[in-house]
Amino acid sequence: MIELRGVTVRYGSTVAVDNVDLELPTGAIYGLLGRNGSGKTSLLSVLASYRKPSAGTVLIDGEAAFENPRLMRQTSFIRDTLDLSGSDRISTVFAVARWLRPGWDAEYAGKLLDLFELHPRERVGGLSRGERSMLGATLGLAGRAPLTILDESYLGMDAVARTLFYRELLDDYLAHPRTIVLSTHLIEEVAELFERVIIMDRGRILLHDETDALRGRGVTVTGPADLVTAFAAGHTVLGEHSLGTVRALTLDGRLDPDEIARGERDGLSFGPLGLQELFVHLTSQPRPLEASR
Amino acid sequence: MFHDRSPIYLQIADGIKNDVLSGALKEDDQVMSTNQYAAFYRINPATAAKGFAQLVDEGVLYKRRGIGMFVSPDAPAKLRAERRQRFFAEVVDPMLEEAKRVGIGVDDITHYLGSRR
Amino acid sequence: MSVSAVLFQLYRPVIYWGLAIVVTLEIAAVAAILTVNPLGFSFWLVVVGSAAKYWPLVTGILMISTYFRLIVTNGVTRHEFLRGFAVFALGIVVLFPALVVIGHGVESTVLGLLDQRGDTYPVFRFGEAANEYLHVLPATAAYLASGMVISAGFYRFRPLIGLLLIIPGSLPIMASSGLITIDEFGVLTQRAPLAVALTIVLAATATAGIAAHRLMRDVAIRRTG
Repeated sequence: MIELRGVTVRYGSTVAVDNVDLELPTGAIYGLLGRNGSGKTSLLSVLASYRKPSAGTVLIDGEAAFENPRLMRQTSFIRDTLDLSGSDRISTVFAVARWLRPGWDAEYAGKLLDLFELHPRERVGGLSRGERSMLGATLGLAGRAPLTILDESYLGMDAVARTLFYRELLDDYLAHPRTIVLSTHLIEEVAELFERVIIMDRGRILLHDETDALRGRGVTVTGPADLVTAFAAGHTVLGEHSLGTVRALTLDGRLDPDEIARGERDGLSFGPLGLQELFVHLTSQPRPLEASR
Repeated sequence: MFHDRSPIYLQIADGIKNDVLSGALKEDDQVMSTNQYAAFYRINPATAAKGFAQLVDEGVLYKRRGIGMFVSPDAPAKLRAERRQRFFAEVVDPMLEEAKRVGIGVDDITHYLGSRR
Repeated sequence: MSVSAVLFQLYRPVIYWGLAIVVTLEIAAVAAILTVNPLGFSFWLVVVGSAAKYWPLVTGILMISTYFRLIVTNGVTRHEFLRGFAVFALGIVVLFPALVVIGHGVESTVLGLLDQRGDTYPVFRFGEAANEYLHVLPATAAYLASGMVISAGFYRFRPLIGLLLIIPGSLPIMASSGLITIDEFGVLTQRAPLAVALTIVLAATATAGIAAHRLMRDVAIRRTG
């Protein structure tokens, strides 16, 4: 079990992560979603002990994680920027991983490199954005760390490379089950890989649930304004827009089939809400306006 | 393959039930393992496991420890009975509603069905 | 593999290339000078004597600015890295001055056999070897420690604070160059009794090392780019 207790990250007066409590059973693939600046990377940095939280602790199997040699050895955090020197060759980067990472699978790393069409003699500084991400994905997967954290590891990858990456991620996870936390903006293309999703918003955990529970949650109702409004009574409204006398509302929660049938009889139409749309609605509530100075 | 309108585990369960009904899966046939299923359909194995667990709960599949999951001998008959029960509520009733909305009488429908026999 | 072993592996090419360049330069330059007149100073003490300061300085800086992140992001704690670096640094501090003295001995011997020592050439004497070694070692230790602690100041704080910290960070260098030195004529200078000078420089070095540990032990791992 991975536990975050009251984790807060402050940069000066900015609060990036705000008193987060989170329990993550090990051995699952988690998707961490959130808008830019929602605190995802800060949270992951604390989870990986790259940063000491301003307050709170991270416990893994009941032990404090920060500066814990055993737990550090079992954690791999791949940031989008990659923590490598531009002058290093990929072969050198692999050598360091082989020397220090107990689970490093050199053969698999070589296979992934071939798959992504990278060459061990290339220097990190000469790689394109997408190729850097491919190298990051390779390091993350071949490291086989019991806690593997990948922060937007697809940046710059084209659709083919992303597909390969997701395929390898799942296959390697099936062969070597471990805890994987993946942060992403591209929800639709990876949602099926996530056992659970965590949505962050403004430094807090907005939602932490089984991915599957979010499918079919949320629905759009369209029809005559008064009927739609009446139907929506008692539901949480995530979003709305109107055109003339037609109104469309996005409602949270799973609707009872009978309720939908009744609505349809009244001339309302219902549409499903995709995960991406649900995410957009959940995280785009208007921010309270700051007092103008 | 899967859509966002309902949980994937339910879609998995429905898919396997359809295979049983159509005869693609027969009594005592072994179904794919959770991992095989996850790898084949590119989904999280926990989601696949939940779909299978649902089918075991409903008695469509049974487990043999250490070997895998198999189609229950009585599954096809049971599923057929269930679907028959639901047929009128789920297929015929909505049709009649629509017919009423557009002004097609029950007689017209009976006549049409008679001609299709 | 231990952190110190990894650091050695990573640094091996730098060490081999550095040695090859220095030896080549020594042979080429001395041969060139000898075509004109005998050697009046120790070329080895000029080149490798200053390398014994600046190479550790650069190593101290690089260890914090580059290698720290590379090693820690491969699953090693900050403390483990700093301990491994201490072992690696101890190796440099012990071996580099020995290289200076041994090279001086070889240079002196070869020039003697060729009868090419100038009047002012510092002839190497076995009895003086230990003394010479002890005049190089403090600078090596001090430059390494200063490089490390100054780099740690920049790693941890804003550039302005890093700049200000250069002043206390340079104390080991100032202590060593003020108290105990060797020049290209082999002149050993010590402005205090050897034991006292050594103690002061090594104390300043140790303080810098501890300060660097304090700065780095819970620092956030910086991002690039």
